[in-house]
Amino acid sequence: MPTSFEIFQALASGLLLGGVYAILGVGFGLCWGVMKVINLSHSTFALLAVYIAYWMNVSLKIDPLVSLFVSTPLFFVCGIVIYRLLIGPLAKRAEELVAASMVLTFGLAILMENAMQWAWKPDPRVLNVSYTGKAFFISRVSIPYTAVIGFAIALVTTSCIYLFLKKTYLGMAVRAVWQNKEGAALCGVNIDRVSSITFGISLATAAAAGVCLSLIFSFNPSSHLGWLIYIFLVVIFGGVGSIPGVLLAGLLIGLITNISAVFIPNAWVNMILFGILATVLLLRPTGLLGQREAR
Amino acid sequence: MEPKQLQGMLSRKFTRALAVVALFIVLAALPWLGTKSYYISFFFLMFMYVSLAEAWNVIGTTGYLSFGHASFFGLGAYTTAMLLSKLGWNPFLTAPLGGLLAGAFAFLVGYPCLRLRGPYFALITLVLNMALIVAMLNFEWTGSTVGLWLSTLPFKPATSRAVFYEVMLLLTAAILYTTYRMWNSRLGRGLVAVREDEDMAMTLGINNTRVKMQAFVLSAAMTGMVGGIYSFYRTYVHPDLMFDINISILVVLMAVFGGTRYWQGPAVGAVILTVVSDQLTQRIGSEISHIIYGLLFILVILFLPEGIMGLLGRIGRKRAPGGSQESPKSEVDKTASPPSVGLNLCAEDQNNGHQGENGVILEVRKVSKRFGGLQALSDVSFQVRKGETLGLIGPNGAGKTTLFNVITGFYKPENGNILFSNREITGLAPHEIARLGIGRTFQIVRCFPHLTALENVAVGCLYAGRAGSRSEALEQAAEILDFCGMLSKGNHPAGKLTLSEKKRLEIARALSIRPQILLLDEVFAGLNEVEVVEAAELVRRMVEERGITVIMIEHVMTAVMKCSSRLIVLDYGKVIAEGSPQEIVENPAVIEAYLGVGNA
Repeated sequence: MPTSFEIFQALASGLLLGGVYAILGVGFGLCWGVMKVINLSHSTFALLAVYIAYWMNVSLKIDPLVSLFVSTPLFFVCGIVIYRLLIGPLAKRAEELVAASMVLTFGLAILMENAMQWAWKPDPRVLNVSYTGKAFFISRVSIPYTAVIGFAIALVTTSCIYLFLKKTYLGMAVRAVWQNKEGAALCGVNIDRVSSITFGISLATAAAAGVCLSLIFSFNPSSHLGWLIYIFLVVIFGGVGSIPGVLLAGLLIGLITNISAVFIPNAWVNMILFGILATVLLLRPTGLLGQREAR
Repeated sequence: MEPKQLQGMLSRKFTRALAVVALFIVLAALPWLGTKSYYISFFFLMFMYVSLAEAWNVIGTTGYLSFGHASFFGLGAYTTAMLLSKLGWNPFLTAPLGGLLAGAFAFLVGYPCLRLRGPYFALITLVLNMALIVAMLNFEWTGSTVGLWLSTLPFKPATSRAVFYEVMLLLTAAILYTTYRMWNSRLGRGLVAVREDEDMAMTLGINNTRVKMQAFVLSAAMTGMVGGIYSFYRTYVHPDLMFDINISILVVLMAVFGGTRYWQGPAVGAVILTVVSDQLTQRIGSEISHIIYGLLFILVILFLPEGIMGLLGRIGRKRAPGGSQESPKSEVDKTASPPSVGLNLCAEDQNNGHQGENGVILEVRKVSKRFGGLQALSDVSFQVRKGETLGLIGPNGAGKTTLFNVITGFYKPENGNILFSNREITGLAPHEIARLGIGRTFQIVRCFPHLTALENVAVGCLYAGRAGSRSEALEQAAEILDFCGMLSKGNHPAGKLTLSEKKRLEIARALSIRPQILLLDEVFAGLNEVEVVEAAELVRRMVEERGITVIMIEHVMTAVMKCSSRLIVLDYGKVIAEGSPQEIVENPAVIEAYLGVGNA
């Protein structure tokens, strides 16, 4: 029987990890909601940010947290370019955008994965900074600094996105396109511009998530597939279109993973997650806090 | 039919069949002609992917994209492996059992999964795939993380490679033949209809759930069989190998690359991609080749959204510009004698003519329907007599279309009954109601945009119209199009027709189910005066020549006054007046509903 200490430890680390899942999910969900684009390369971009942080740390001795300020704006611009070159033209032509976007972004993921493999070799890597492995204690429960930093970045990013959507004029336009594209266009919203900015923001969050991930996990060029699964879990669980829902789902999934790992063999933990995901999909395809999509 | 024409057609068909047989023989002879073992293995894999992509497209063509077909591949592989290693059964005989198990699994999970559409279906199949990997990794009995080693064939390696090659070739041929036949069958047409428009498919008598389930199970079973052979070929099974998500995704990419709207598309995609990836890997190493591979997907989906076959189709159409304009008569003539004059469009009285008193064919009794706080219909009751044309009018939002949706089974009413020929039809599914003989059109014109006008109508003939074969259906469809004055447009894609042509096509499609009653929802709206007169004439002929009872929702008053023998007026979900056109015009309640109080 696990001790209460073990459960508290699982609670703490689960919550911290959950924040990082949430931030991955927020950007992915934004793309899905606004553009009806399923971006299978979302986690590949996060992985690219991981490698950028790693490379800057190894060769330039720059702290990964500083790399955040390089890769976030870089990815934002990158997102706008990718939208203009690939996603936008695709959205105009494809009849089945969901399927088409999955094929296109998967192609992008293959391309990036192999480019990373070519640049950084397939070996697993770990990013070591001065605070890696250090922790502070609340009673006997250890809280690693890296997890706290990751969690803080996640919280700040999701709050920023939430405020952007709720409080700014552009954010309102994004929500308008999300709910009814034709209606928004009729009100003078430039769909193309809003979509490209959304895609940029989505990739910028992937960059932020990547920096968090680099602090917590070891990684190799194919790590992104595993992360993609967590993205699906979080977005579907929380509901496409609900930032608080995705945040909540991220935290819950972090908790469920870590707490069930205390009670059952590690390998079966994923089964629990898949079970939850299947149940949510079948009973409530719109997720915990999601709203029905307008047709 | 001209004997020359027949001869020409026969010889063309014969040549094509001969070419296919010749190709098969050449491929079958390859291993015995001293071909390098590398190529034999390569062709084995190519055939495997051709089979997998074709099998995937059986369900994929409906727009339900499965991203987890490796589940069925792996189940087939493991069934075969287990029967071989635990019971020593011959895997060539047990591979079909693997297919059966995969099909059974698809049957179990299909119903809940196929209720989800678009990305959700793609995701749940992917999740299923991942869950199966985890389960298999933890399942001791199937070898868990260690996997299972299988015995090899009792031959020299070269011979055994050749045997596997031949078996896979045979299986591929069988799967190609099955999918080809299916594509042209009733099921194939139903799947296309589901892809194009699920709601409309139901009004033609197609049981969407059943059609999708059949396709899903068939697709899974074929995939499972291929998996069975593959496990034996590899002589080793492991969850990461047999349930590999990369297989799931590769198969989707191949099918999309080739074109999911064409039966041969996935096969073409599989052949091209296996060759390209093999050549690239050989020449420039795996990383760079994968980068190019990824780039290829991006370019193809950007510039060839309908895949390679879509491109070929476009080129073909450009080369023969007259090709699509020819009258569909020729297509019909190919398959059967000219349409018999006066083919009975109206469904035979399936209920032995129990028409109730005074020939009442449809009775609506106290029907109520509510949407949240809005009472769309309250206690609506009326009768429709056989052979009459009943006009249904009322201001916008009066509940007219809701009433149609309730009668045709799209909505279930909270209260009340609907009787058709004295038979209770409340709560039946739309396709069941269509099969009984109630046809409908849609307020906002709909069609299967990628099918020709003729094919649009033929789908209904195959399902609710009970045509025995595709050629019979095409024959009936041509007759119906002729009746609606649309025969000359038969080979045009429906999506490219003008509004008035689309409206005629919509009527033709509704006639394809041989309706006893036809519900027309604003068929005159948006037409110019000449077109309205023509359409009204068509409605009159339907009633007089075919004996069809018509209920029409209409706002074009001149037309509705001329067409209808009786009118019903709805306002705020209630019947406020009923009577002859003359009586209605003079009814103060009606004037009030339209113009407001004070003007009466």
